[in-house]
Amino acid sequence: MKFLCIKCNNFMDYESKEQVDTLRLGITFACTQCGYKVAMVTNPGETQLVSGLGVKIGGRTIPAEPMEFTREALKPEGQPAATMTADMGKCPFPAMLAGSAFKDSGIAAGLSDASSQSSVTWTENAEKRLQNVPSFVRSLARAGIEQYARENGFAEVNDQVMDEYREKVGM
Amino acid sequence: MKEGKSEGRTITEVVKDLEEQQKKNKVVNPIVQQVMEQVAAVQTRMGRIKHKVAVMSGKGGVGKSSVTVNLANSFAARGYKVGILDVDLSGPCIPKMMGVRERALKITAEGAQPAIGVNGIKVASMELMLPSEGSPVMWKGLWEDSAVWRGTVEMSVIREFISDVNWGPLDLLLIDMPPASSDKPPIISQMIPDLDGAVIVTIPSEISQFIVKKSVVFLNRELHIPIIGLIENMSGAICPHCGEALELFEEASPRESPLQKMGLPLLGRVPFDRRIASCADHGRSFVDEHPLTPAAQAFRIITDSLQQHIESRRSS
Repeated sequence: MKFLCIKCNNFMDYESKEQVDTLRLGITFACTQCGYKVAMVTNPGETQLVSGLGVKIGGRTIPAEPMEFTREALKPEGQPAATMTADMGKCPFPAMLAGSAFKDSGIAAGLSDASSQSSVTWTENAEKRLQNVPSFVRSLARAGIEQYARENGFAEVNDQVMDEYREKVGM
Repeated sequence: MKEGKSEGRTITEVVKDLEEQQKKNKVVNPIVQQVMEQVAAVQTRMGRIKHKVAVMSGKGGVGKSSVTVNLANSFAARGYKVGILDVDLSGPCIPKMMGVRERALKITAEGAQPAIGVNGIKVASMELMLPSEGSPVMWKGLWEDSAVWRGTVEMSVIREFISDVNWGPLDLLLIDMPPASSDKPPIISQMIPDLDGAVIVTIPSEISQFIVKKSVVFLNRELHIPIIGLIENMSGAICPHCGEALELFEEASPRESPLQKMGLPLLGRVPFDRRIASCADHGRSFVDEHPLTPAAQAFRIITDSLQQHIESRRSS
């Protein structure tokens, strides 16, 4: 899988990976030309499917013990069915980026702020347009737009902000 | 019936390709590395076992496990070192039939030590990893309801049973397959490419033969698992009072069943004998305790054919 930099259209290279939690892996890619970075977080289900092969994500540090996978995979009696916790449902990007290469760029701080204390309001039409963004990146888009609005002195995200932001990020 | 190498690529072949690609690229993918180690472990462990035979049927309730246990005892009586791998993860009954239900697999540095039952037969089964007799097999994970995820987990569990159980040198490993399964035979054929073949168990009913025929076609045509022959279980019964032979099924099995018409050799017909079930319930060997019964004689005839097949295959 390769990503294209939305700024200069060059291929981006894998830069780093980090374990978000036991079921999610965050992977950062950087543009070889301009240094622009994007990050993706693996789906917990997909991570679990790969783990179902009896392999350790990221590699092993110690050899596997006999029947290790089977012993770990067996559910003790009486344990309730697993469910996605509220935390797992939350977008992990802000937490992940806060501790990554993005932390000095201000983006991570912006995302964290945006997810906790949004200082800008949204017009009804802007909210409607945001719904057109795929759900799995909607939180990220919202945070980016709000950060753009704050940095440029807008108290409200409206069609103008949306248009400018779209122009800026090349969407 | 066709016998030979699969047209599809085995796991070993795929991994070899990956290995070459990695050497070429000088990059070791940690996931691929682990898969290669798993395949190597399977090969090492299976390399110490002379013959591997799967006992299968597309139909449940035909007596696969009972046949497996009696064949194991018959081979052991001929001096074979025998192991039974119970691949029926959800309905494992081999340990109880072999009288080792209480002997959990012991984990050591050399691998999981199989339980040792009557006649020194080694047994590995999911049952030996469960806390109690009534415990069902349940996997933990976010996708407990996903058949895809469960299938992947069960494939890894079976792979561990093949690679991590310290069978030691064996002459014969009998693999007791679950019924009506379309996902387990491919795992076995991929992981054990030198499988001697499969024996198919059926009963003399049209329904059974109808279903079993499908699995024979699947095993042979799609997976290229050699079919060694057919065992007709519950093929009539002997009256315990007068010794008269009775047909258990209204429509008696025709002289040549649809399965035989497919070219499957009939290894033997085993009459129903309630002492088979009784011995299985108590973990005792029927063929040793009742050697003169028609059923025990049938098992010996089947063992003759099977022994001849696997030994001739080895020598050729």
